[in-house]
Amino acid sequence: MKNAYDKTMTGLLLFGSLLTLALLAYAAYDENLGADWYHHQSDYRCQLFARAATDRERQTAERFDVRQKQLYLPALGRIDRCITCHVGVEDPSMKNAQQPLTSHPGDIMANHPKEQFGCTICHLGQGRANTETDAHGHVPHWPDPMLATEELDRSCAKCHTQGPLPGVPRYNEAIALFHEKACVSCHLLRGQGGDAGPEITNAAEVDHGDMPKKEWHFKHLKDPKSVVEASEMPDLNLSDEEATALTFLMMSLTGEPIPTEYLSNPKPKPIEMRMMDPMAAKGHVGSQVCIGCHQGLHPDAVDGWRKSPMSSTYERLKNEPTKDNCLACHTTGFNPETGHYSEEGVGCEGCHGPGAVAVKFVLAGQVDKHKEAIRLNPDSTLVCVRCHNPHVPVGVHANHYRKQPPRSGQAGG
Amino acid sequence: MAYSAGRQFLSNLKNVPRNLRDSVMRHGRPTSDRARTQTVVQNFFLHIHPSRVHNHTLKWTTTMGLGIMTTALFLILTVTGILLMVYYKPSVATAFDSIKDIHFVVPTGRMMRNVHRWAAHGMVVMVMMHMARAFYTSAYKRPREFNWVLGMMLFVLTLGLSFTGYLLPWDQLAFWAVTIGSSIAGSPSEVTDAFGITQSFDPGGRIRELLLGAHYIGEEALIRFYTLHIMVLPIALSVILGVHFWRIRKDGGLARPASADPPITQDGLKPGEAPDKTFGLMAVVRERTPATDQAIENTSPAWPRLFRVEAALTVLVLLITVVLSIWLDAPLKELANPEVPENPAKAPWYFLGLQELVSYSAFMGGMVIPGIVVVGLALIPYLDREDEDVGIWFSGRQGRRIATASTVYGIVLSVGILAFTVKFKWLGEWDWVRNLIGEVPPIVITLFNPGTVFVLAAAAWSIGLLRVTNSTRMAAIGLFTCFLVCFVIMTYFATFLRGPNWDFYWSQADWPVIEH
Repeated sequence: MKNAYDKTMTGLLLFGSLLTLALLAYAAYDENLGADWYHHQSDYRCQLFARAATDRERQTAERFDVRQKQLYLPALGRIDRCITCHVGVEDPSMKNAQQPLTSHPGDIMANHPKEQFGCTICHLGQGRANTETDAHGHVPHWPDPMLATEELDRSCAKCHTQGPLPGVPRYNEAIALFHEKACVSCHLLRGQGGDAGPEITNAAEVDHGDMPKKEWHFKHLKDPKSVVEASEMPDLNLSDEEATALTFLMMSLTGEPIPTEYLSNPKPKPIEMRMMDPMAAKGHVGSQVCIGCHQGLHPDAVDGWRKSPMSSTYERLKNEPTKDNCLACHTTGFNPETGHYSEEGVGCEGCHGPGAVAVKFVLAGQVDKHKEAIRLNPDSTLVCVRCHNPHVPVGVHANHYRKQPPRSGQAGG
Repeated sequence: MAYSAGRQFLSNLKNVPRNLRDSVMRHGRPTSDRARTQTVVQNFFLHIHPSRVHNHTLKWTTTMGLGIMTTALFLILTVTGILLMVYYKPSVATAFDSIKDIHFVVPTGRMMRNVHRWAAHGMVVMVMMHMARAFYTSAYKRPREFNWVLGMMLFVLTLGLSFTGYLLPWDQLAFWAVTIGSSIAGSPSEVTDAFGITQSFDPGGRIRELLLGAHYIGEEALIRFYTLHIMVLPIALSVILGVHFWRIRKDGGLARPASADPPITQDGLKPGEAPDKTFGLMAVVRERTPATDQAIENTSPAWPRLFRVEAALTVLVLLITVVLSIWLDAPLKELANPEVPENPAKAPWYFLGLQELVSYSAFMGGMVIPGIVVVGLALIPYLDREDEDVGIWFSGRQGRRIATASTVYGIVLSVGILAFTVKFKWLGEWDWVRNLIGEVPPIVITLFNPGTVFVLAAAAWSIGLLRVTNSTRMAAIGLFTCFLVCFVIMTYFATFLRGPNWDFYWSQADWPVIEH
């Protein structure tokens, strides 16, 4: 018994140890010299040498260290190791090289230095990974695979919250529509906007059961009640193209916190914060609030106002030195005692009167009282002649009011 | 003088290796039996071993090396665990990313994590197989009762270590598995709910709170699990493991049948035993003192035979974990998201049998039945005190037949109960019951569900064996086998045949697809 048994054990010990060592050596090779990134970087180094014409270029090639590289982006909470393979991303001479060594196309890197932005903030994918499949994120259990080139513009809206942006037509169309439809009058976006509807800061992340998100947003924008039965959102009468554009924008709202210094417009124009609590609002609420619903209810009237001189009447005098004299008629909700106003230009409340009470009614579901509170007497022209003074014709009114003493301008009497 | 001191120095220099070795070893090369004994006895690390080991112990069929392999896995886990600790950051914000970094860029990190994972699963398997081996060879019998109890503690600690480690990656798998596990801990609420006293008396909630440090799984739970995983449980396990080994020696080595030794001589002594000469120190060992001047028959010096086996089996399990680790990565799902439940959310595999029972009744399946099993197992040596046939697999032919019959009975029983439950559901969903008594009170389900039916049927089988064979050992074999078979079947069933909403599916391919 002794000999066979001991021999087996000795054999197991010997061959087991050798095999384990061999496998560990293989694993070490596989992790370093055998790794894909190692081949890519060696290839890049060779190309640097092959191209080096001057001494300086040869020194650059010699100094190139074949090792894993990463972009550490604490502000964005990311570590991007993409440049471990895409090592020529900023090297203009690699323009015609094969992937992964090719340089970044376009001039976008000029405004978006990789040390500040990294890669995955725009491209998505798994920045921490260092193998192609893992890094590109087309693997199970990675929620954000790399965006296809034609989908890349989705990322612009992460930081460019205002628009327009040269060379990104789909984004421009979407953002213009977004402002036109005044979505933020009801929906909170990045801490600003109304609360009549759900917050949309992370609209792209919200799950909608079995329906793919893109499809859900499109249906929802075309006809809110088709996907949310109890939806109070008005039908926006969007064309298919418009709904597609807004869907694209919704899909870009990932809710990912972006540091202020990365935003295109670090201090966006404050939207009436009184809308945060409409029940506590007093006086004027701003046209955006009205448009939020009425754009969908009777778009002709709203578009008519938009195209009329009233909506842009402030624009014409904003450079006037004596503009304080004009504010009573060129703004909405002007308070002659304080000189403050609620909105530039003549908005909804310029004629219909302060809307806070009416908003309270409609949010409480009392549509009749809402109408009553805001209705204009169709026979009354008093509201018009408040500004449209029949005794001061349009052509001469500017000179007339410039001569008035400062800030006394109660136009029209 | 100077010349001679210089020569002396050169000679000292030449002898450094030998003198260094002698000062460390305190004895010569282990070429004689005496030196071999000293090698063990005088070495801090080896002296937990006996200096001589019985040949029966070294036989492959005695232990199959399961205990050694379990210990080897624990060593591998300790080493890889310490290496992982260097890079792992136990905080909700960083844990997941640090695992990603370990996987992708930490030198050998992926290998270390994979080995750790596979060794952990292996240790759970090995510790169970080791327990089954000890049971079936009657190794728990007098004087080894308490070492069996220590073994049970080690078993529970191993599960605890594995379970606490499960949360640390902070991915969806971890988060939801621990959600299931911790709600099992909170299952006494089912009973207090049934009596409507949870408001004032909520032991389930308290246990869960103690485990998680909060009402949800977050930062507090992670740091608790981490502390348990890297410090409390490993230290407890190491200490008890030490006692476990020490008791092997104090209890007279591994259990072996009487036939392993030559027949007792006329004066009641085995050959090689001294008639009356005893060592004071050796007296605490429950064996007759060996004669001091000659080797005992049927024993071999531990050096090198036992150590060679230990080294060879350690290398074997290392080799297996390395092979698995090269080809199969430890899973890492999405970052934990408390708002997106996994469906199905499954506990770690060794708790899946329990989860199946929990799906019938959380309290019965999660607390009472495992409680009965653990306490019942620990009490086996005190309930079955038949001393015959120690060290013989299944205690002989009758035991083998009973184990076979019990395997068949266990398979029929657990498959039958599972099939019945899948096909017909249970009390609460039966129309005729509802027509008869209306809504079934939850406490009735708690007391009478497929889990309790199984336990009762297994107990009945065991009591039947006790009557027929008139042997507690045979009754114990029947019960143990039933539970072992049931554990394997339930684990398989819950792992592979339970899908979303804990519904039954023949294969994962039939699971309904949920798009996100």
